[in-house]
Amino acid sequence: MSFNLEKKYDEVRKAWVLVPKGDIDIYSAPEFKKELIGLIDMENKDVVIDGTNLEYIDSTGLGVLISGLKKIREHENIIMIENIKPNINKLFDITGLNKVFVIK
Amino acid sequence: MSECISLKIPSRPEYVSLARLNSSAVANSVGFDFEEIDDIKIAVAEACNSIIDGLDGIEDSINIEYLIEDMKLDIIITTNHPIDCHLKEGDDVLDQNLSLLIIETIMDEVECLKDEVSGIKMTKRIGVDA
Repeated sequence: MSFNLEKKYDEVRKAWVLVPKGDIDIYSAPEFKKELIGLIDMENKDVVIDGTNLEYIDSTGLGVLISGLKKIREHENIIMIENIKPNINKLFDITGLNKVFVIK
Repeated sequence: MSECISLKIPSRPEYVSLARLNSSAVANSVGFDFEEIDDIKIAVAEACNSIIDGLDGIEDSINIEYLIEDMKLDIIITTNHPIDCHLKEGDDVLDQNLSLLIIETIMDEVECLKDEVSGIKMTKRIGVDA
């Protein structure tokens, strides 16, 4: 499964919305990290990860989200994760990351 | 009597998805249900991730052996180079070894191999919640 990432700014929520499509795994995670960290560094805004089209994420992808969380906390902003599928939600539960990210 | 299926992949990120897909086919043939197959796919991918991370850029191969027995599947994932294998690191959720934490949670048995080869042996039983 390939990976691509759509980015859009939500004027109402004053947040960047990232819509990853496909798999965030050890192969695609570096690209996702470049986009996420680059956005956090350039824009002092909250970030929403819309998981509607995300099929799979592995520990490497979760690691990117953790890096992003550490970075965005420096700006006192948050990462919200929305619309993730049950198989992905299970990984957030297993790792305890459901307690550190805002998941809707 | 057990049957063995083997897969050998280069220790590069682009091949991990191949191991994941292959695991799905093997687990399906053994008779695991949908959720168990998903667990096995995830665990195999995480073991490969852990080995690639442990190799830290060293080019090697990853050997994946599936030992099929009645009602259970052993999966042995190894490399020839010595790699570190810690099942748990620290208490902070943001600094944990996520690969091994995930494997430990979704598989029924997990063992780090450190003798002749390095890697992880894990077991999944049909119809047993991890």
